[in-house]
Amino acid sequence: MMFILTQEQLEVGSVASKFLDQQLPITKLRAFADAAESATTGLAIDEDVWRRSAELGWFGLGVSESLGGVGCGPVEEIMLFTELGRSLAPGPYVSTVIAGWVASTTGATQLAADIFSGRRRAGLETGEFIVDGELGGLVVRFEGSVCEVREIMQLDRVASVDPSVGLARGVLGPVIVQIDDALVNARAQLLVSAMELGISLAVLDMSVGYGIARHQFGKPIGTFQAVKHRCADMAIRSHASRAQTLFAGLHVAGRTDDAVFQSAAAKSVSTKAAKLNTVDNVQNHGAIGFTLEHDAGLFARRAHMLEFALGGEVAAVPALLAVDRHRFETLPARVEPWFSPMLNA
Amino acid sequence: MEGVDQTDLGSFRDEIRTWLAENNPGTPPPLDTIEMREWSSAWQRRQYDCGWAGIDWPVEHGGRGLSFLEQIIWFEEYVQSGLPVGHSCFVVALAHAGPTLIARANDEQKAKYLPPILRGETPWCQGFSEPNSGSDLASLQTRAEIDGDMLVINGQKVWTSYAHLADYQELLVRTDFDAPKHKGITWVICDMHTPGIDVRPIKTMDGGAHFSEIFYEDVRVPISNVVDQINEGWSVAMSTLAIERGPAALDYQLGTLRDIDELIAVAKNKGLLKNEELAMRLAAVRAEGAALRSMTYLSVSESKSGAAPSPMTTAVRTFWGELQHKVGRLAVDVLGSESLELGKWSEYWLTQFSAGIAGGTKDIQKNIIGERALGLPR
Repeated sequence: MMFILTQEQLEVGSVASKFLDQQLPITKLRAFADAAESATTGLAIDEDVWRRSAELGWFGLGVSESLGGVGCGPVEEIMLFTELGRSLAPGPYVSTVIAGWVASTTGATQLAADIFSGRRRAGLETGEFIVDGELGGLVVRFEGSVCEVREIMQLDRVASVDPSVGLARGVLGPVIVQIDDALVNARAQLLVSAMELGISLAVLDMSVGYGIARHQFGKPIGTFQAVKHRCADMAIRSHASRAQTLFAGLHVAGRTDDAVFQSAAAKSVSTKAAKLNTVDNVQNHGAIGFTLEHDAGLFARRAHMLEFALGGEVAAVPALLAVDRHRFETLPARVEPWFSPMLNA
Repeated sequence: MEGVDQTDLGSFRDEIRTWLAENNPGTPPPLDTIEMREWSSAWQRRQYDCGWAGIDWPVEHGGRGLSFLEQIIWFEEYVQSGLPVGHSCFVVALAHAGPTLIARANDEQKAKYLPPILRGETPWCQGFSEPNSGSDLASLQTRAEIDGDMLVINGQKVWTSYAHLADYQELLVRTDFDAPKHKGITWVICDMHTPGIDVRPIKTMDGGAHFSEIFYEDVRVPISNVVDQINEGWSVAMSTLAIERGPAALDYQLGTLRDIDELIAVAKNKGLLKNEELAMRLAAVRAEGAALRSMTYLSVSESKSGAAPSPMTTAVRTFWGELQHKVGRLAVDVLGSESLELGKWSEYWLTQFSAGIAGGTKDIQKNIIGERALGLPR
């Protein structure tokens, strides 16, 4: 059966979910955000959680064991990043994992080991900014089909729309490692899509919970179709985001001809889902959803941040319009592992 | 979740592609008339004779007994070949009545009714909606009295596609007026040529004439035509609706993807992809088309693995209906004033109005998603 998650894949999600629930509840996220704000240089992350994430193998999850990784594929990465999105995990998880792919596949063994063990991490170039970058740390940037890792030489922080994500302008050093492979970007899009999926699902749960708990006119507000239908729309969008992201994961895993198209489609529907679901979620909560103390705003702000990651919606347009037609004949093939010495050779 | 071994499926796909290229009927189906039935029957028979009918139906009912993957590949190649989808009076027989009979009928009924469907002999229609029972289907009032070994049916059905071309109907009737509304319904096979049935066509706003209203006056149907038990019809109907909202409509859904591809080609030829807003909207519907296919693959995989049918299969249908609306609106925007002349795309726009209504309005579907999938209170 090609489209049923295996026990192992489900486990990647449930282990991550359990760990994040215990170690990174949203109350902690707020504390990190406050600390980062006052420190002005630091990131909104917990070094202990980051180290333990490394121990769980998260930074090399999708890299072959022969290259020092865990040996899983894109679908497992999607399971992990869905949970990171759901818990609004702070820190540059996406770009650090990408840097790990590039370092390990290009033979930068020491750099890869440093990334996998949590000693080094990488921010992400996003438009004119560097997201979650650190002075002297790494940054991932895409240029066409090339994915490169550089060092950050200078960093000037700016106020970020998302208080738990660091935003800065910076000066970059020369390329340390790079790889020219359009599928690296496609695979990276899926990490962001998965985080957006996690956000879409989290705010859906939040809205449904409130629809049941909150009473007006003597009954739960979830009985009103205006609220119920908004929740149904949120569920439909989440379902589309999940199905497309997983299906694209299979295409990327099999390195099929359709992988770039499928992952662009995943990014498009996932961005839309996170964007609209977080808006609907605030509306479902009424005035309390608009307050700083309520989490609805944090999800809306993170969705806003992710909307522009890896070129955003506009970047997906060429890939979606480049093909003449939907290519049904390219079913996801059974080829793994992905980041292996064979690919490099 | 893993990929598939392409080796065998690839050659199966090539075989279908070759066959469709060599056997394409060439002429488009005539719409809504008795000639449509002749066209649909001949084309279905041709598929049957060459082993392409009922690919995932059991062998004993005339099918090929292959897996859902082969069935999907057939639909994909069919759509890719450019053959018209959505224009067959066998759609209810193949996608609704057949799968319901396979799931719920007794052996005698299966042997009698299933093979003629695949052979292209017997178009079916559906008899569910009534003038006063639309979204609230279970409130239906068409009554059946038991008279010996016969049911005597009186009442009215409406919005029945291809009733005027069908030999049989999957008919829902009330057999118990005292029981709660879901408990007094029976699912019965009705021969459309039985005396007392009056079929009156209804024209639709897009100019089509495949709809009818049907009047039943003392229509006598053998009790042996009841599928499952008397008063168990609601659960039988739910299996039909689950099918309607799920994978059986895959060829129609893929047809929407093909429409999107064609619309993008039109926009490209007009140089409109340089218009950033139109390009973004076209890209977004193409992405949603891809997602529609992925959602269906997910539903089919889940149902074939024996998992309980997810209420989220309803979401696929709702998503699809809203996508058709967006495609139709985009078509008008891409064509501009050219869309004023009746033609392929203006007709698409007029037809898509039914996408949020047919098979249960999207509004009732969102109630179902809210209540059954999400657990919101009624």
